[in-house]
Amino acid sequence: MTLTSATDVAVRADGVVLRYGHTTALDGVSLSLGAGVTGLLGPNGAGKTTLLRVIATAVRPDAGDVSAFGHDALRGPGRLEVRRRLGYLPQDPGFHRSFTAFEFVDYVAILKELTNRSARHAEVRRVLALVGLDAVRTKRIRALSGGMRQRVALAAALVGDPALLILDEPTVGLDPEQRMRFRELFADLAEDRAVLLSTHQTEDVMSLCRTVVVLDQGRVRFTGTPTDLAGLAAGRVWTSDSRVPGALASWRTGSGAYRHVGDPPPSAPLLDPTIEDGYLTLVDLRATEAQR
Amino acid sequence: MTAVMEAPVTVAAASTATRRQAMLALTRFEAVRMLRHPITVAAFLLYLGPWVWSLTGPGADRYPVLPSVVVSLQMGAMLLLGGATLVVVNLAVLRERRHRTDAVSDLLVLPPHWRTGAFLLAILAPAALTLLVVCAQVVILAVLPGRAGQVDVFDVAIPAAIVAVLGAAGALLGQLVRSPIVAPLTAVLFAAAGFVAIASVATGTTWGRLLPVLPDDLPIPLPSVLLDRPSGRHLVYLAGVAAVLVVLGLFRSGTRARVALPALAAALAVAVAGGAAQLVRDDAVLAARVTTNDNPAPVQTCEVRDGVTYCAFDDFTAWIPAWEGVLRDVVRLAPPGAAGSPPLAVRQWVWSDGFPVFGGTFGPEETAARAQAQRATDKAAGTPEAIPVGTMWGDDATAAAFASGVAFRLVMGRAVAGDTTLCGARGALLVWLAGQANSRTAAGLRQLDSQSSGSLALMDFTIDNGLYVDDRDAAVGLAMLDRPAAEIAPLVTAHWSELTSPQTSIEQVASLFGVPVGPAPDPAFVNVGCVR
Repeated sequence: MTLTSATDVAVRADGVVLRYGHTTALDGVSLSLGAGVTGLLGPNGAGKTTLLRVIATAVRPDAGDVSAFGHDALRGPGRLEVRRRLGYLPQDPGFHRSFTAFEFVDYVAILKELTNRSARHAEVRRVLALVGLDAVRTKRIRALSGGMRQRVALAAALVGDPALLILDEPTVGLDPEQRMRFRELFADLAEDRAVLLSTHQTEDVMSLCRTVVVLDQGRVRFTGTPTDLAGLAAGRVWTSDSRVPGALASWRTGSGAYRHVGDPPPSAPLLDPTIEDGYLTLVDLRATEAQR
Repeated sequence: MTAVMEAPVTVAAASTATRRQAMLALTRFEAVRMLRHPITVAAFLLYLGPWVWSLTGPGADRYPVLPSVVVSLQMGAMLLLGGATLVVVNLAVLRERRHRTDAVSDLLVLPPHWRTGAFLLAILAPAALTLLVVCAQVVILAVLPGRAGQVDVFDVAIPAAIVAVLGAAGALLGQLVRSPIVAPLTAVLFAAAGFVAIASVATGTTWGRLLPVLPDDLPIPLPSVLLDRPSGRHLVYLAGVAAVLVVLGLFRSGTRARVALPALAAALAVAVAGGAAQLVRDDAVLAARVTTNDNPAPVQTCEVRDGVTYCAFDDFTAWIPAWEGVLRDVVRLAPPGAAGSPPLAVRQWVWSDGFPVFGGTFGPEETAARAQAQRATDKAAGTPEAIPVGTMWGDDATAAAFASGVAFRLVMGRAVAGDTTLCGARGALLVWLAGQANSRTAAGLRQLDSQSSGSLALMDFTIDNGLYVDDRDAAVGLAMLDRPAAEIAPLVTAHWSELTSPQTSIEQVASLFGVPVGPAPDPAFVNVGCVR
């Protein structure tokens, strides 16, 4: 796909509401995405996957608007234009197991309307090489490991050089080395495109994301940089020699000392908070608000 | 709460390729997968394997009647190639759901009805391969020196059309039902329907033509001039049915009603028109069948070979050398002059009118009348007492039946006509003369003997006369065949008059040739229909 124009905002969601029966999955979510990796954090059932599917044009919300690259992503021909620029890796991608890796990505490329055979095949080889599968491209998917299959799915998402990448927990099940490679790849990809990354891996968010959004119970609870999120726990992380029952979280570290998140006792030795600490603090604050 | 983060992002331009190009690219992709699918490969191997064996193995058929062969090819195409295509296309259509890849594929650009269009176009690949294979089969058969009949080009195209119809049915099923079990069950249903179509000949109706195969309306090979096969109209019918299935499949997957409904109406019109037109019988052909049944001479070509006149339907003349070979072999060990007068002749007959598709029988008066008509025809055509031969050739039993007809002519001095039972010495002599001709006639006699009960039926069921030899007499003739011909032949020559006399008993024959004879039957069961 040829890069031809630029815009400030890749995706804009405005007041998105989606209900499944009596359950409100998304409750007035608004956000804008630009270039770079945006991390989407939240507990299970927070609405992360639903939000990704709405932005990916798979689900039409009950209310609100979503636009991408200036096109209405919810209806009409704009939806198709968004899909032309979209790469989507779902949480649990299925595979045509009798296809080779090459055939699978080629098939997706055709459905993305890449019609010139030689150019398409070159593109398929490019994305397979990008995810490190060049050597096994003629192997059937059923013969590939779980990690390799995940990379096939990522290659399929990348084919056609999409300007918007939506990745739903792409590093689940990958070993540390593979995760590192994925991080490298995402970082490279995000240089000139918008990447929306839903994950439970806070290390990924910290190391990759320019922006992080925390979603909980269908609402955006936080938007900012990973450092900002970690900063929410500033002054609330401390260490001691024993477990503290009142802490939000408390665990014994490898050094034998205990690390606590919560309201510290006076004169407790404070530690630098991590993004995980910030996330825990945010969730606790929301729970406290809810109790009130 | 609102989250806002904005930064410049580069936007790629949308693909400029048209949907049609994408559909064609997908068509190519799916076509290759369909052809390489193990079910398709297995179906083609199963289809071609037995056919190649029938050409190259022992007992290979060197005398195919092309129109009959084409019907069997259509049946094979429907059972194997069509069934396989139905299942493979159905699996392809269901692929996204079966493998749960729809979360991604639903978001890809090419709309569902264009994808369905690609699946449907891809069916042309197995259909084209079927056409290619069937053409090759027909060409190979057509260059065999012993082939008979003429092939209608529409008949050759029907197997490919059947594959297209079943493939389109598979695509539509995939749109309607998500279970992959339904397609194989439907293929089985079509197979059963095919057999019903073939069997529908017994009903005397043409309804079987509404099924994908175009069955013959008589279960025997016919000369081309007597064929009532509306192949072109059947092909139009199949094209209409395929179009209906295609339009329904496209409509189901999202094609707009204002496009689909007129197309559906047009396809239905073609299917109904073609279907109705093919049900109409060809009265001229039916009339010709009646005429030819009683007098085939006007549509035959005669050749004189070595003093013997052979008359065959125009498209069966390639069999004359084979008949000549058997006749020569039968006559070889008969005494000189055994054929007597008139000169030997062979005429091909076909039971094209009144064939007992329900297994009925004729009374003695009818049989006698037919025999008389046969003699009159032969006489009028200048080949009196011509040995009859039917429209099947190539297997041992048929060769034995013809050899028996030749032997009958030598023994009786006239041609077999109507139903005839030969007893005593003449029965044994006939069996020996027919069996000694060559290994095929000998094998055919033993095959017919194993299938007979009460008397050895030396029948060619494509013609309406039958020659029988009482089992006890036939057993003596078969026992004579077990002895070296060099020992038997001089005795036959020396005792020809006694052996061809109705007064000579089978016990005398057994004694003469030193072969065993079975115990005399109860007088109550003695065959009273022996020809004198």
